[in-house]
Amino acid sequence: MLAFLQTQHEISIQILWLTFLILLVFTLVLLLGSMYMRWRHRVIDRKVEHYTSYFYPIVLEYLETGGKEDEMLKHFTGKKIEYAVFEKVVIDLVNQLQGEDANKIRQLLFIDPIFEHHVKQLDSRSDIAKVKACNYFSYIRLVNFKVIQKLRHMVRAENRLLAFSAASALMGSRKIEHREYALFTLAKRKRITEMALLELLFKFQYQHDDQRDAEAKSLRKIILSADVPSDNVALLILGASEIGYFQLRELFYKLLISKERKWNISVIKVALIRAQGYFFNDEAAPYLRKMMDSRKIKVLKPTAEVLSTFGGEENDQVLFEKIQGRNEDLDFTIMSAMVRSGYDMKTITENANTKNKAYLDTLVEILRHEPEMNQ
Amino acid sequence: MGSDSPLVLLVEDELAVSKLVEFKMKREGFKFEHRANGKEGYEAVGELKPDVVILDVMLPSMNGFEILRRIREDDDTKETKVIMLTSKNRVNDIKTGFDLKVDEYLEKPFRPDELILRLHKVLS
Repeated sequence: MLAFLQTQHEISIQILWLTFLILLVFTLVLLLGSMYMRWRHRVIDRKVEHYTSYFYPIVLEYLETGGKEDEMLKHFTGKKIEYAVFEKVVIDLVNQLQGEDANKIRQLLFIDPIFEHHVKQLDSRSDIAKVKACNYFSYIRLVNFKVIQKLRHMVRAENRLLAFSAASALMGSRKIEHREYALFTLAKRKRITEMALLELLFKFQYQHDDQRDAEAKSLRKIILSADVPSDNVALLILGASEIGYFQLRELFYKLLISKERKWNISVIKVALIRAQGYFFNDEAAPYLRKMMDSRKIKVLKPTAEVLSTFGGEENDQVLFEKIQGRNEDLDFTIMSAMVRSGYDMKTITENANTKNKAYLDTLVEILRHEPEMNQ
Repeated sequence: MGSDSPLVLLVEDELAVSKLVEFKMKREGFKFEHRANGKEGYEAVGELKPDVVILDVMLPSMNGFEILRRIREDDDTKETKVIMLTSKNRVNDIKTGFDLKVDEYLEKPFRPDELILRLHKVLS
């Protein structure tokens, strides 16, 4: 029995030693690893500092003396860090300069080594490197055939940031088919943020010549597609109306009054209602007045706001009638829109039910002080 | 301009702006000093007694308006010429600058030649 206990004791000691050794090795590896990383960062920081100091005077001299872009080539030895630092110097300066000076410096981003470096980066194994390359093409808004093929492929990437960056870069293409492809592909994704989709829509507009009709045609195709989720359809409707694609005004009105299920999903309905307001399409007023009978607060709010925007006796009358005798609590914004429709506030508060009266009294008080606040 | 060339102090934390202004100042023959934060910038005004201070608004540790206010309150520095660099569309910044008796202002992004023109204007 004693011998058995002694053996058990020795095994425990051995296990403890083994654990200690393993932990020691791990600690040493972590320590050395972190020391190496710190050293590496310092080396990189020093190199960045060196090249930053090296390139600033060169770029500023180019700006001052008006040298040729190609003359810059002699300052590169082919190291990746040179291109990265040079690009940052140029972009930082472009952001601080105005007019011709900014345009002149921006030309430096087009020189061959920089351009080719980014084309190569599009084939990198690292998604981060690819995203950086996409950002470069997005910034210079110049994509050639070779680049477009790679970007079109990347728009379908699982990595959402990469897909978005590639789509943004494709928006630099003059050809609408590439821009449409980028927007359409991203719009089909369920997990795309509102900001990302709206930013793409904004970039979708070509800056240099008028492609407005063709763009509206593309947007129509995307919005009517069954492959685009409802939330994204709603965003595109709102975005296109706010940007001012008047070519879509008629379509959005037809969709508003459509009985088809898809166009009556709340989120899309609300977008279509708001679109009437952006386009000031008072042709939609009779339909919107009928919608004031809706029990859905989500729909009531934008409808009241749009009718309030239109103004006019008939619309005001509907807004006024709706505020009276409502037993449920009304949204403050709806009441605000109703009050703003021009009716005498005293009459409105006297006719409102008790629940809404408290709200209205506050609103009247706020509106009374509004001129002072705006001064 | 020789040893009696005017001394320009730039208080600015953006590297690109400081490099750009430094390059331009040296080319134009001005003596040039740079500080990258508000507190050091204010201290440098007292120590160096620059002829012109170019001040950014948004600065770490002390903002440009605070520096300008202190410059104007101090008898030793109240006559120092000050040009403020403000961001575009910040009308309130320009108004605050003029309330604090700034001599000139320039909106960012800017043209270096315009800065030189305003510099000569405040020195004349």
